[in-house]
This record gives sequence, C-alpha cells and structure tokens, in this order.
Amino acid sequence: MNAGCREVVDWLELAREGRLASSLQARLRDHLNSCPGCRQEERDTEPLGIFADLTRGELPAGVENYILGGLRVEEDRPEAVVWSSASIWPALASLAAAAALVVVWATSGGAAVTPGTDVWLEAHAMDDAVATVEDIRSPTAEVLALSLPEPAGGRTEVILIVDGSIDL
Amino acid sequence: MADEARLIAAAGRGDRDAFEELVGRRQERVFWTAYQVVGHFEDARDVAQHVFLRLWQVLPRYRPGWSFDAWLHRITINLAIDACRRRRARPEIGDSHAAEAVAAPGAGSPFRDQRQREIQGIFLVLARKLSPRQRAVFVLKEMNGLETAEIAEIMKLTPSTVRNHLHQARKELRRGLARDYPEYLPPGHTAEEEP
Repeated sequence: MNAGCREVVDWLELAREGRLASSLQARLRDHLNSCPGCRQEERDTEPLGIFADLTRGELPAGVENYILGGLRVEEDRPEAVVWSSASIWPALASLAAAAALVVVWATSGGAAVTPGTDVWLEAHAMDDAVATVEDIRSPTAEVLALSLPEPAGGRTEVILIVDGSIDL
Repeated sequence: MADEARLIAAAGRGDRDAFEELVGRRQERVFWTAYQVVGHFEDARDVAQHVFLRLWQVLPRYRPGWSFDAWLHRITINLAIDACRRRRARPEIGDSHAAEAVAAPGAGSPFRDQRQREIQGIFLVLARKLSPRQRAVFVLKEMNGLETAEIAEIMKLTPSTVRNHLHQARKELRRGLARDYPEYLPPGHTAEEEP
C-alpha cells in the first residue's frame, strides 16, 4: 500500500458516512477501480452489522441493584481528601490562566498511575466558574484537566484530589 | 427532550429520585457499552456503578446545551479503558471471560434468543485481539451508532485516528469470523481475497 492508497483508505469511512467531498468521490472510485489492494481493503473494512445489537440487551439480573446499591451508599456528594503533588504542576501550568480556584479530582480507580496512563480529572468542587474537561498531554503523563473559558488574569490555583496515587 | 432536561437539572441540584430516574434510563446502555469494551462481567458492572457515581459527583457542573449522552459516553469509555488496562496489568487474575456470555451468578438471559447469545460470545472471543481503544471505537461506531466526529470528540482522538482504529477492528473481527465462525459472516461477505 503506497501513500496514495493510505489516503484513499482514510476516505472509505468518510464515504460511508456520506461526508466525502464530491470532488474526492470520483478520485476514490477511480482509485478503487484500478487498485485490487484497496478494493480488498474496502471489503475488509465494511461494517459488520452482526454485532450491532450488543449494547441493547436488558440488564442481567442483579446489575441494577448493584448500580443503585453503590449510589445509595453515597449519601452525599463526597468530600474528597486533598492530595497534591508539585510534580503535577508543570503539566498543568499551561492551564493556569484564570483567577478562580479550581479543584480537580483525579481518580485512577485505586491503582497507581504511571507515565503514559490516562488520568481522568474532572470538576469536583469549585465555585460557579464554568469549566470544560479536556485532554492535556504532558511530557510526563496523559491527563484530563480543566480549562476555564476566559482567562481573568492573575493566577489559577490547582489542587489535585487523587483517589489512588500518581507515580511520576 | 424537555422532560430529560428537567431530570438532569433536578439531579444536578441533588434530587436523588430524579437521579435514579436518570440512571434507570441509561443504565442498560452504559452497562452493555462497558461490557463490550472490557469483556468481563464483574468489571463491566463495576464500571457501570462508577460511571453513575461519577455522574452524581459531576452533574452540578453540567450546563444545558452540552450533549448529555456524549458526556456519559466519555465517562463510560474512559472508565472502561481504565478497567481494561488494570486487568491487563494483573495477568495473575486471568482473563476469565469465556464464550458463555454474561455468566453472572443467577443471571437470567438478557438476550433475545440463542443466536444473540452466540454472537455475544463470538464477539468476546474475537475482540480479545483488539486494543482497548480499538474495542471502544468499534463499540461506539457499530453498536451505538455514533459518527466518527462524535467518537473523536468523546475519545479525544483525531477523526483519522478513529477511522484507523475502526478499520483495524473490523479487519481483525472479520478475519476471526472467516477463520472460526464463517457461518456468521454477513451475507455477501467471503473470506477469500481477490486473486
């Protein structure tokens, strides 16, 4: 498969979604007509269909009670224990652009988080500032963090609240 | 859906009845999505529970206009991928999900019929060859019907990367079907390559 083929293969799904520009549709057809490898790729990557209903079943017995049971244990929204790490600061420094106190919650499900692991950070408790969770990829860890909509000047304080540990 | 918007707003203010109603509406999709990604009953059950705990914690941050389903999908997929990685990091606990789909103690059958149960088992077996991200993309696309752009937003990937994961997943699953379960290949699909 050459570079042109790779480009064409990327178009296949766009074409299936009806999102391929009309100018490229003709190029795609021409290429497929002349390239057996890409025709094979087209067949190999067609939607399978037979697995389509696998997220539509009823819940297995006991699962609903398990989910609700976990929720009922949590009488209130939890007050998390604050854990902070100076080593995380460089990763979040690019976010430090607003004045509000931002409290983020990182949970690793109790497991140690090593570099390269996705760390899920989300708004937990903060004032009424609107924040959006988005990816931040740092040299030391791949994290999700909060970005504030409009820098208001000054300095953002970031406190990490971690369930588990971060191992950097 | 105005009714649902009211439920979300009430749950965000701490109304537990509204929140449980919301859970009731979404728990099947959340559990099954998690199950197809992690491939293990207990892990999927834990993921589903954590998804709703997480939702309860962050709902006060929800703002009208955000896509609630995309938000829920993102939480579900992130927690499911984390669960996959934890399981792979602990090989001593094994990968016990066999082809008997959803072998929960005392579970009734959540499937419409025997064929559906078989298809579930086949997916569990064949999807072991996929990476967690490939599984997640495949599940969101082929099972939940999301578009590439939506998946890219949910998983924070480029659309091109999503398409690449999807193609790899389909090819691997098709190869497995052709090799081990040719009777399940979709009509008109054959295992043979072009001459």
